[in-house]
Formats: sequence, C-alpha cells, structure tokens
Amino acid sequence: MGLTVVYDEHCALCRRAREWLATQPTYVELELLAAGSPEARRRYGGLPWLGQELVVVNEHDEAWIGPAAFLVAMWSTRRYRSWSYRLSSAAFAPMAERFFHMISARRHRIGAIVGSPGCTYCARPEHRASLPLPPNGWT
Amino acid sequence: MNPTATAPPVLYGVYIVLSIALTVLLAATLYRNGRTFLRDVFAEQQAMADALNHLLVVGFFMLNAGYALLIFRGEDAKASARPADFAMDRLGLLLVTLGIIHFVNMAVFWKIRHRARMAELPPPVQPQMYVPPAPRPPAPPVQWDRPRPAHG
Repeated sequence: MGLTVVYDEHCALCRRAREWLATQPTYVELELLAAGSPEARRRYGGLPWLGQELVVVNEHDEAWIGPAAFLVAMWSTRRYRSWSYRLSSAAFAPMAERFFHMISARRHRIGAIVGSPGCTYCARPEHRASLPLPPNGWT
Repeated sequence: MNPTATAPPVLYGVYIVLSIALTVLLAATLYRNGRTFLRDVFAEQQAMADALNHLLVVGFFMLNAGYALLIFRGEDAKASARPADFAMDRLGLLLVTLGIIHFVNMAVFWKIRHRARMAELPPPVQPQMYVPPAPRPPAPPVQWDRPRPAHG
C-alpha cells in the first residue's frame, strides 16, 4: 500500500505540512508530490482540483479530495491513525469536514501568519479558471 | 514468650504457606490466560509470545514472593499482640499491590494489541473517484553497448 499526496506548493502552510508529514512515522509509504510539478500534472492532470484542494491517491488510482484527503493523510501516520477514525465518525464528521474546508480555503492567509519556508521546488504559479466546487467531504 | 520475637514462628509458617499458595494460583491463572492474549498480540511469532509469557510469569513469581517476604517483618508489638491480624494485614497489602501491578500490566498489553490492530485497518473513508492512469512517457531508446574491442 502506498499513497501519493499532492499538495499546493505555492502555499506556505502546505509546505510546512509537507515537511511535517515527511518526518512522521507512517504505516504506508508516502510520496509527496507538488501539484505544479510535471510529474503530478502528467499523472493527475485530469483532476480539476489539482493544486486547489489536497489530493491523495492510492496505488489503485483511487483518489480522495479535500477533507477526505486530509483524513486519509492522517490515517497514514502512526501517531494519528486512531484520530482519523474518530474524526470520520458520525459525531465528529460535520465539524471535521468544516474544519478541513476552512483550513484549505484560508491556507494562504494562515500561511502568511505562520511564515513561509523557502521553496526551491515550486513551479511558476499559473492562472486557473474558476473551478467546480470540490466534492463534499465523506458524509 | 520471648519479647524480642517479631512474630510467633507458627505465624511465619502460615503466612508463607498462604502467600506461596496464592502466588502459585495467580501465576497459573496468568500463565494460562496470558498465553491466549499474547498469542493474539504476536500473531505471527508464536514462539515469541510463549517466551514472553513465560518470562512474565517468572517476573511475577519473583515480584510476588519477594514482596510477600519483604513486607512480613518488624512491628514487634503489633505482630506479637495480634498475630492473626498482622498476617491478614500483610496478605491484604500484598494482594492489593499485586492487583494494581496486574492491571497496569493488562493496560500495557491492551495498548500493544490495539496498536497491532491499528496497522491493519483500512482508510476511514472510501475513495471518492477513480483517476485513470496517465499514459507512460515513451521509454528512451535503448542504447546498446557496442562490443568492446578486445585488448591486445
């Protein structure tokens, strides 16, 4: 089992999250891929949310997008797997979905607050036309 | 009665017999049920589970017997005045302490088992869509090495 995590490399928060995730002990192998990288575009260019929402793809080419992707990224870590189940339960799901949506939508503002680690692997930002709304979470 | 005696010798005998009997009983129970538990935790290493179980029971034996002997001394006046009370008091202390150790032990096992289970669980949510795999880029042309000329 391996997961590919496609993140927005133009957002400081996402880069920090990437660094953090790279240091976490995980149950499955993770490939961290910048959304703007040629490799990501080659493989997942068909996904409209690429670079806009967090995308996680498993080895069977099945994808989670947005809040569900956050949850699956959490599930991959040893430390927070139990939390991913808790957050996916009926009691927590609405709150967790809104929280992940909120984080994702405001990531640039949050990134400006937490500060920006340098980015040597960033592609040039490109203009994106307005996108369809991301699929809702998992409920 | 000799005023310097800590407890009548009979009391020692009764206490030792009682505490050893208790230790053996508890150790046997632990050994039997601990094995089932550990075999589940170390599913793919049965020998490991049995070895750990054995070591744990040995540790339990040492701890139990040592502690039983350690706490049974001193307090001359109390021991000689009401020997039966004294013996019961010590046996009670022994059991309560071992009970606490036992439950801590179980909690640790439970945690190990829980963690072992965790590693096999599927993702909490179903995948949302299928991403058709991209066509592989054409492989670079294979460069065959020309056979090297043999050296003189």
